[in-house]
Amino acid sequence: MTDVLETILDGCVCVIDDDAEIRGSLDSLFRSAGLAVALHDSPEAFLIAGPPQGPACLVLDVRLPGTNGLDFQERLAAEGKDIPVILITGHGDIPMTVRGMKMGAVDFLPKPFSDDQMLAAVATALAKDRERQAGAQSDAKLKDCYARLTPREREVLGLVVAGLMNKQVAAKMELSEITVKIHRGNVMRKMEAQSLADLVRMAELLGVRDAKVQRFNI
Amino acid sequence: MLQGIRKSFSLLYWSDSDGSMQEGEMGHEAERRRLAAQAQSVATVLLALGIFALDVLSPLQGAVAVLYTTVVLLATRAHSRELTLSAGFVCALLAVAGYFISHDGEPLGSPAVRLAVSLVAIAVTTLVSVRHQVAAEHRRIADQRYRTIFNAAGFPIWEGDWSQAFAMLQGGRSPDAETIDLAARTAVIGDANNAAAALFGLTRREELVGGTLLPFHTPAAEATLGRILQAMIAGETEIEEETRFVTAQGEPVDVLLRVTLPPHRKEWKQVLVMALDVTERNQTHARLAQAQAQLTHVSRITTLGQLAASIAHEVNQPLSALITYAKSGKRWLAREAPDAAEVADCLDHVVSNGTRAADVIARIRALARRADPRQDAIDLGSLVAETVELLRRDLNTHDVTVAVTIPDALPPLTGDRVQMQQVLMNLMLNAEQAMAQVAPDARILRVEVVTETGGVAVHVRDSGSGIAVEPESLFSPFFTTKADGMGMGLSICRSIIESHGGTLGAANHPEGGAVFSFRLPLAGQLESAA
Repeated sequence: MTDVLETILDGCVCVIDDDAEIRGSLDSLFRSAGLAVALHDSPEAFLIAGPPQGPACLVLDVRLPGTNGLDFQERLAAEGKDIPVILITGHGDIPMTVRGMKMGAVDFLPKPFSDDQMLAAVATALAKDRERQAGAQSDAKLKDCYARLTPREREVLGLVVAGLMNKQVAAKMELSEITVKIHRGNVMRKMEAQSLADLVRMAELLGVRDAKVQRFNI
Repeated sequence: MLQGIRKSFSLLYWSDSDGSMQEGEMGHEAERRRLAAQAQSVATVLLALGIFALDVLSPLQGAVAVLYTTVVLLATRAHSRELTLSAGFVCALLAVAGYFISHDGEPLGSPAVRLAVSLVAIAVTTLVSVRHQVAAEHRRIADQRYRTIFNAAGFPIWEGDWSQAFAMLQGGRSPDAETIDLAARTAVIGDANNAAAALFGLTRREELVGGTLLPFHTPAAEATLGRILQAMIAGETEIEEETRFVTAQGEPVDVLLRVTLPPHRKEWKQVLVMALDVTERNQTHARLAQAQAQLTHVSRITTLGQLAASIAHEVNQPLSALITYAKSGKRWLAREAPDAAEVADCLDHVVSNGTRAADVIARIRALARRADPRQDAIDLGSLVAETVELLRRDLNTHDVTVAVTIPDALPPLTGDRVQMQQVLMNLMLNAEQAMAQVAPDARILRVEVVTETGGVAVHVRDSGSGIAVEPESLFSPFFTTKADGMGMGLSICRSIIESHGGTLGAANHPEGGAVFSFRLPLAGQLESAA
């Protein structure tokens, strides 16, 4: 408890609740924990404001005038806006909770909630978002590297990670073994791969392994 | 006294069944009267014989026989036509007999003339007496009939002598407290029937006769007496008033009084008072009103039950904010550099949210409390607004859009605010339920307050499918269109509105949907109507 109380978190919490007092109280709570806060009285206002920079999470009231927080959560997921969601409600029931958690909510907190629970949930959500954003960054970098490869080099990469030896690659591409070695060296350098194993992992992430080719069944 | 003698006389000598004897006031008094009557009848016979002797034996040449008329007159006191006629006949015979004894064989002269004059006198006296007797008989029968009705009536009747009050009030005094007190003290009860005695918890009517009603008076009775005197002074001869007495045992008794001043009795010597014991009726009314109040309360609680989820949310919301503000205030204090401004802000919100929760609870509690109907001044506009606020969350949940029209200046109404809110709540929740089958964006609840001549009307209109049955049948008890409905809501609403002197009705709106309207009279008009 004490550790959470003393933890200063980093990130932005978006709050959607139609009750101004609930919004205000969450604002004060999150700011006391060193978080940035963006308050919205409706899902529309949140969409208009756009997603915040850096790691963020969304505290969403289930019961909103004219709409339902769970529906909005579903809509966000469908649109690929995968910001971590913490659901809050005045009167939750089991079906509601199950639906929210299945949709990937970080937590489902009934009002009144304890500050520790809320901050713990927010901490989890922000960590998740940070991880997601980091993952997204490395993906982007990998794609950048792959884009720098020539068509030949990509072909070599596909065959190498399929497990073919240089000799086999050369035979398949009708090139000399020396040329294949040069292409392979270029691939390792451009992809910033430290080892063949590293390259295989990257190829898996990029999905560029030539599936038609096998080492012992050419 | 004289009447008593007459009664005894007739009883002794003639088998004339005198009804008044049946009242039977026997004892020493009656015995004494009987003897006196006996003596009188003997005296009458002796008188006749004396006159006869005087006529026959005395040397008087006067018309002694004329004295027989006194015998006839005495005989009339026996109160029998036959007896009077017989007396006249016997006296005439005695006169003729006296003539023949004294003057038999004499040529016709002055004695014969004197006899003729005497006979004429006897005849005239007899006839006049008989006529008087017939008239008296009629009066007696009428009086007897009155007495029979008086005594046999199943309801209390008494006669009072209010002549002292009359004298006082004729002297120009207004019926103030002192006069009323004096009137009550001096209004002696001349007669009363057994029902009257029973009304005041007495066993015999004699306990009432000769006294006053003072021992049975209550402050309410004093006030009623004042109003009765006022009306009588104003010349009214029949007055109806409802008041309360206490019986000899100290039990309160509610009566409806009808005071009649007989036209031929001047100076209020014989004021006739009839009373109807309405204690039981009033108690039944009170019990009915109590049952009604309980039912109204139960129905209100049922309505609140329907709103339980909304109400819980309404209270939970500020409590939730309050807790979070308090925790966050603690955090601001626990920081390395505590932020006093933030803490103060948190505390302000703790207070405002606590107040908000308390307000919600106060609103609900007013509805849940069981209290006797009150007479408050009602601002219908704010009441409608408050009720909409109370139901806002429930209406939002059911996607109902509310349109409220309230004129700026509304005339004041009086009544029970809570009951009025109950009616509004019921009508609005009914409207909400009526629109359950309608597309969410077409669910519109219109509440309109309109000033009308002499009152205010409130229309609650929904955009549902309207009323499929005869609208009036909605108001009969136990009529319901809902699976879990009790069917009492509208029936109770109507009785609430009617107890406020208003009307509640339902109709289909020409543009679709149902409209429930109630009209309430203005504050002043309600009092004058009540």
